[in-house]
Amino acid sequence: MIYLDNAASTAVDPEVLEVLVDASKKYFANPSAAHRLGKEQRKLIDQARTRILSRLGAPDGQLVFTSSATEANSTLIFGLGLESGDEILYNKADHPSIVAAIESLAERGIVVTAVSNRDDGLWNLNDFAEKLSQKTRLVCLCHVNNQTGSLQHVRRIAELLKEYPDCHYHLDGMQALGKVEVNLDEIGVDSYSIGAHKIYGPKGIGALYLREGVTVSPLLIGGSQQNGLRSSTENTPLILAFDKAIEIISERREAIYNNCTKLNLLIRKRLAEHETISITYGQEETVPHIVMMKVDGISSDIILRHMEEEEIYLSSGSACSSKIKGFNPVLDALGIPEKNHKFYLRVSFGKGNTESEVEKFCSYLVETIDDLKGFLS
Amino acid sequence: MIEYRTIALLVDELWLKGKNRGSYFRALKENVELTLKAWHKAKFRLVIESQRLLIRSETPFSDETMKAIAKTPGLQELIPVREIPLDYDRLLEPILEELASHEREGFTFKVETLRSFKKYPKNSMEISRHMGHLILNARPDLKVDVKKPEVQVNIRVLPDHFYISTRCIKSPGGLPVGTNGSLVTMLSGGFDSPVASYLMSKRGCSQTFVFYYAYPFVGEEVKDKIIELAKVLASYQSGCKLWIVPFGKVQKKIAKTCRENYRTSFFRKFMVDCSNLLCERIGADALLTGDSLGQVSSQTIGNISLIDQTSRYPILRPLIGFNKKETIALAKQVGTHDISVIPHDDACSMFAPKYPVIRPKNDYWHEYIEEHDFTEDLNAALDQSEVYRIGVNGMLTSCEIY
Repeated sequence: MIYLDNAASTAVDPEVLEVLVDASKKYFANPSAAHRLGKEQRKLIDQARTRILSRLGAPDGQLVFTSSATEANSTLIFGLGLESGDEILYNKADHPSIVAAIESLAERGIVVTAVSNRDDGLWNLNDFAEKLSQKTRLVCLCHVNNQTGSLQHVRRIAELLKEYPDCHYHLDGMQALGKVEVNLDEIGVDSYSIGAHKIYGPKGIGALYLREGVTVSPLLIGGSQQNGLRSSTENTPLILAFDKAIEIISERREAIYNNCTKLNLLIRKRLAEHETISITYGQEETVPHIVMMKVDGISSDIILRHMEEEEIYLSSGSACSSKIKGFNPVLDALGIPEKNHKFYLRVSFGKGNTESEVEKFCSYLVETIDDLKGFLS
Repeated sequence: MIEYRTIALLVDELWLKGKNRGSYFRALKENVELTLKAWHKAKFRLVIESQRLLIRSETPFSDETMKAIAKTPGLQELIPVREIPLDYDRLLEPILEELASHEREGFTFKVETLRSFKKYPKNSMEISRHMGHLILNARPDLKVDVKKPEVQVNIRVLPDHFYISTRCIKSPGGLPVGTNGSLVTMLSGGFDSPVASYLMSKRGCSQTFVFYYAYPFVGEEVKDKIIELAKVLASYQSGCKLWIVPFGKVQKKIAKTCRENYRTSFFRKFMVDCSNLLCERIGADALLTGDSLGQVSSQTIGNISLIDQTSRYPILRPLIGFNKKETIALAKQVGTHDISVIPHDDACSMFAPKYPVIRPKNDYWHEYIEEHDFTEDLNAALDQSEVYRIGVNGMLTSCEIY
């Protein structure tokens, strides 16, 4: 099997799995319990929280464990208490957990304004600077785009926002964590969403970082766990596994980055000469882990199914929206004509991928395309 | 809401039958029984009584159950009935309840009485006239219309009770499924083949459905759509089997070896060949398709003629003279329209030549068939099929790799 869909999800690291299994056996009690079993878990959770904050470069911040990065985004977007007339600036090319949540606020009279994207796939900061005003209360963006791999200029945005102290700056770091260096204090962000399953951790656990002093209203009301920010019994095994996944990825991030860069260069070189394949965005604007490409004239669905017959797995656009045929709102927001949306593929590398896998993928892709283009109308 | 514990089922053309009428009634009874068992989770009694079927149960029949039974080919209509003790003074009240259950005012009605119990002291005319009068007194908003009433109140006088009914559900009519052989129905995701299937269910043909699945050119969603169509058609079939035959590799091989303009015609030809093999395997009598003459290039008289020349089993085409609007209107009635309308990838259009052949040349057609024997490929495709069994209630009961 050749798995080139790591931006959709990753295989759980054996060490992380061990932590998860052990903790599931040991820590069955309720972490809010007043007895020793509860107190022991409370301590472990607090320690995990401190370690994660420290690894995110924000030791003084707050960290709310959630079920996913989607929940973290929703907690922030709906919990900021925005009022009618307030404005949000966002990127329509971002993940639906940002875009759909923000656009739903328009019904409440909140002004939602999309900032355009440049031809190289990055957010247009000139347009952003023009649209920014005293009414802007929230700026929301994916640090790394899940479909294109575009790495946004997040520090430059923070600088522009310095003149607007009442504006909250939120980043979704789901695709950035473990891929690029994440130092939240240095970036100067107010909140940041992360999740475990893209960094070789389990599904069902994410977190929302909030800068010290930032308050949000909770989505879930109940037993007031996590300082009332998310009622619900904390899942100690998942939290500890998440902590372990972050620990491992922090140690190996650079090595994985270098490996992905090598694979990225290889794929660009191998496919550059093929007349129907084009790599959409440049290496400088994207993380090496994600490569978006277009195959002229052959629907990505057909290519995907031919690949899966050879046990090669990749993605057409985002796995979260693979059921939606044809129109892809992300590609639309990037200015790509709708008639071409179905021709886009996403390859995303992970820690285990090798050059020979990429060679095999490229050969089979070219072979499939050459074979199909002769008779598909 | 009124609860019905008795249902009368009127038959359609079974009365045309002579000495073999009994076997048709038995088939119809079996089919109704299968549907009842799938939908009505309580004891019931189903009997043939004076050229119609009667179902009784102590537990009321739900609307869903009645609608499901009403879909049985061979039935003309389903009438939910109330049994009232043979006490004339107690007849009006349940009739007024029935009329109230229509939940509207000011409609026209007529009372029709049938006196099966001839010794009853009042005759049919007397009962109808008197009850009509009493109804008008109680419901001054209603009007009598003896020619075209909106609601007809039926009273039937039997030795120990009255039957009353004011509503009926129309059934497909025709003959009971299983009385007229078995077919292999070639399903596509469009409007035509499901309607063709429905029409032949009405002629008493039991059917096995086959879908030629062009994976990897089309995806799972097409398969899901076909399963949904088969679920609807199973309700007119007392259940069915659906064969999903992997056909992408065969289509690719055809596309690579034949003239571009013959592609679609040869796809059709080899699907028909494969369906012939399936007929042999399962002992079916004929093929069924949704072809309509001239609708698309592969359904021209030239193409149909050549395909028929090489089919060992007869091909039934009940839609041959239909136009699209007629088919779509029928699809709405059958319940397949809303599924057929969902867009899906279609391998035939994916491979479609720019100029498909309308008048295929005999010489090339036969030459290609001589030179390209697909029997092994077609048998391999059948061997790798997924076979679904679908109950009359639309439940998938099993899936096996053939």
